[in-house]
Amino acid sequence: MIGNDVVDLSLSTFDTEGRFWRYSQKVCSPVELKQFGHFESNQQSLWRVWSLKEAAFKAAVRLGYQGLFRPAKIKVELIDSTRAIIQIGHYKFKGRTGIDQQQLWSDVVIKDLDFKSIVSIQKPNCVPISYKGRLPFIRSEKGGKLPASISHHGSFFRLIYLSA
Amino acid sequence: MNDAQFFDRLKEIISPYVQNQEAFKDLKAETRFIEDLQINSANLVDVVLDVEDAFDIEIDNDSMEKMLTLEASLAVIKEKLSA
Repeated sequence: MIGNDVVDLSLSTFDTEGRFWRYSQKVCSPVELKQFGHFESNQQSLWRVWSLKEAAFKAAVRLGYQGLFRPAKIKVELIDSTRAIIQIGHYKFKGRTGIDQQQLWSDVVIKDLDFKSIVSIQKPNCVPISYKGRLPFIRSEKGGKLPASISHHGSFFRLIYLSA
Repeated sequence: MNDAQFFDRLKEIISPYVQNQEAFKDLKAETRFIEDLQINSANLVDVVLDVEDAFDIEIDNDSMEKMLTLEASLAVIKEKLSA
């Protein structure tokens, strides 16, 4: 099962250092705050942790999780500059994050091996998307439906699915 | 501050984060921030910080999670002001 999130970094800045830390304390645990700045800048750490929480929430909903999105209750452990482990309720996911000058994106899966099967699309309206409730699917080449995860923020769009 | 003034102040606070202007024009107490106004989840935290600044209150995580509609947010604000 998969989930993803993208952050447009140009829309995600803070006017003051104080505001940045107040924001961070609302959505991160003290343990997560201690990881800030280890592998990237503090602000990138915040959005990296945030996007992993969003992505894990989407993946957990796919698996039947019925709770609300409560960022402070989702645990993120950063392993290195790209990899992370995320826990939401009893669901545990592996996360990967990419960062460039303008955007940051995170994908989560259950098994590391699944990262190799991720197909990503960066432009909207490239593939037809159907929904079951609020869950997106795309059509596979064989005509079946593949679970997808979609995120857009500001100028950026990212759809992912696992190749069949 | 009376209820109408609380409502107007909160309306002013959420305004910069609203993406669905049609729903915003028809704002009601039960209007939902995410589903109706399409405020993204990251900006919901900004709303909470702006509310803290505007009303000089501190909103804990449990209360923050309740602030998903105008009505629920006003209830949290009033509770914190009276504490």
